[in-house]
Amino acid sequence: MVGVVVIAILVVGTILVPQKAAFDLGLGQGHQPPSWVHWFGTDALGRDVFARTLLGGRVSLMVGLVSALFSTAIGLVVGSLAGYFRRLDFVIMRVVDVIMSFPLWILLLLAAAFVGPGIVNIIVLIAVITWPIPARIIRGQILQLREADFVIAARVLGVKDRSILLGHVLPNSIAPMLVYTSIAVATNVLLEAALSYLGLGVQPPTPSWGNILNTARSISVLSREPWQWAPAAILIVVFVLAVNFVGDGLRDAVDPRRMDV
Amino acid sequence: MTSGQVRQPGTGGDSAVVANGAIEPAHLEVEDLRVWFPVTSGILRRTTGWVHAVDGVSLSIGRGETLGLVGESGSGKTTVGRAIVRIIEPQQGSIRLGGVDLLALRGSALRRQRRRFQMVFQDPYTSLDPRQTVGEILAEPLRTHNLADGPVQAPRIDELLRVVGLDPTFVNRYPHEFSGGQRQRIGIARALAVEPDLIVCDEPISALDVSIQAQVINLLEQLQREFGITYLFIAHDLAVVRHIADRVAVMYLGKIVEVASSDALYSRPLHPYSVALLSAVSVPDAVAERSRRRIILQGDIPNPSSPPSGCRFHTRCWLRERLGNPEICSSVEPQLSSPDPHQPDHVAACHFVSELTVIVQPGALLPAEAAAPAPP
Repeated sequence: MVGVVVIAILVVGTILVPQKAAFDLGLGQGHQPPSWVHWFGTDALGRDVFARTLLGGRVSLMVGLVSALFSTAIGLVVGSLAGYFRRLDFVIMRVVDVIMSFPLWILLLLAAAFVGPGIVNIIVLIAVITWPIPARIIRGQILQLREADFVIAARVLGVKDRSILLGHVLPNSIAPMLVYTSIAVATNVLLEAALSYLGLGVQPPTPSWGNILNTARSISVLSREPWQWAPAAILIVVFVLAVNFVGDGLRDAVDPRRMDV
Repeated sequence: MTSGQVRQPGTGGDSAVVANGAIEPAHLEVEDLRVWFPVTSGILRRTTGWVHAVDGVSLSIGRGETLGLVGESGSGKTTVGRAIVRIIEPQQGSIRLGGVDLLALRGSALRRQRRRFQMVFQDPYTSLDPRQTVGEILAEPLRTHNLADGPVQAPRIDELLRVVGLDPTFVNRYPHEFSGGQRQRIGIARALAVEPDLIVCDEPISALDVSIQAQVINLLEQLQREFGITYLFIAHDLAVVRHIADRVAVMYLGKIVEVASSDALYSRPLHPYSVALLSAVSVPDAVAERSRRRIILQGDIPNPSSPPSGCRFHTRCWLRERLGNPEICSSVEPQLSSPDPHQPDHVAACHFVSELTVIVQPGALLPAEAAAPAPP
């Protein structure tokens, strides 16, 4: 429950924040520490860090969510194909093995350097590189459920393959997929942050948690002006933690055995 | 079959037979059924061998009759059941139900015929979809075969629940809210929903508590009396089979080694394997139980990918040992035959059926040495 509340506050906050405030330059007002006017102080260009952190959150969360959904969607389709058709299975799983045998970061960095930075680019990149994980999950589920007695019972009853897949196999695969997707939102927020920190993700002036952290590359900002980067860093940690809690909660919620009698 | 049409269970598919004027020899007729599973190896999945799970099984069951199919784990009895309900494709053989060749059916024709043969599963915890309510579980067969649509569906589900002895108010509950015995009843109701002629019961009670087993057995018997359903009852518990089955077929390593009426099998088994199986059944009598001699078979059931030559049982046969290991056991495969012309239906596949009838005293499941007075 705490997780849900934290996520709700973050989401509402990032949606309500006025965009304009995050881009207003304040001439001669740079590097200000937190005050009543600027709660989190200002950055080198005199922009309000509070507004930028929240707006950055909006961008980061959106990248995390969309890429997680995208990745799940690819994984669901490819994994279902692999689980159902033996011939495809061999080919698909070898592709999965190849992708998964690359170090994630290096692959991501290379790809990002190749296609260039940008919000859409990194959403697609993250999805394209992480889909093997949900694909494996769904394939395993299907292989297991295909032999389950209740699926055999449905076959004996003469239920069509498509109805079995949609009516029995997929509903029973939802729990692990939901858990994957929710945790993937958190992981992808981290990926985005890392890429943007390295300058390969979201490009300024559009803020994101990652490129706000980028300001901490300067030693003087890092050691003397923590208000510029600490809020974004803390929010990342809080958000990832909250998502993980919610992921666990979701797993219980979608399990009919855990529904209260 | 249109929805709402009244139909007595156990009468489907008969019209064709009657119209042809043919006399139906048996309701379910399985002939020379062979199910081999390929053994693959290497990256190219080349087939390097075959597991002869079922290797030439023939059996027949009359309408409304119960045939028990018993055997050790790995004897192929479950595979026979699954081949009959068309879940496993056999390599060879024929399966006829009420005159219809089930193996010739494909696609939608097969799906339509599926309502005539159903299955009850061993494990009531895995055979019900945990995400469906009882109502949804029972609605699926009705919907699939257009049996009770719209307004008549709910009353039909109520009726099914009542028939299997469950409270109709349970429709909105999930399987995990029920006990094993109740879940098995739901599984039976699901099979019953399509009004089948034949139900393959794959060890339907071996996962249940002993106190619940009798209830489920009684339910199955009651349903048989009421609807005239034919059962193939697969089990390894011989005491239960004796109770429910009219006839019993004993399987060993993919083959049937003996078929007899239950009374004949239990009082006078003809195959050394049946004798060994029966000697493992405990007797509900303390004195008899103490003096009971068991024949412990050595080792496990052999690997069905390379079954022993000749009689498949010869590697573990206590009778062969006693007879001085005759060569015929390992060279010639015995056929099912009846040693007693007065009982042509009691057949066994053993070269030494007549010797066995001498050694094993009628009525007692004890080999000769056990029948002799035990040393003090």
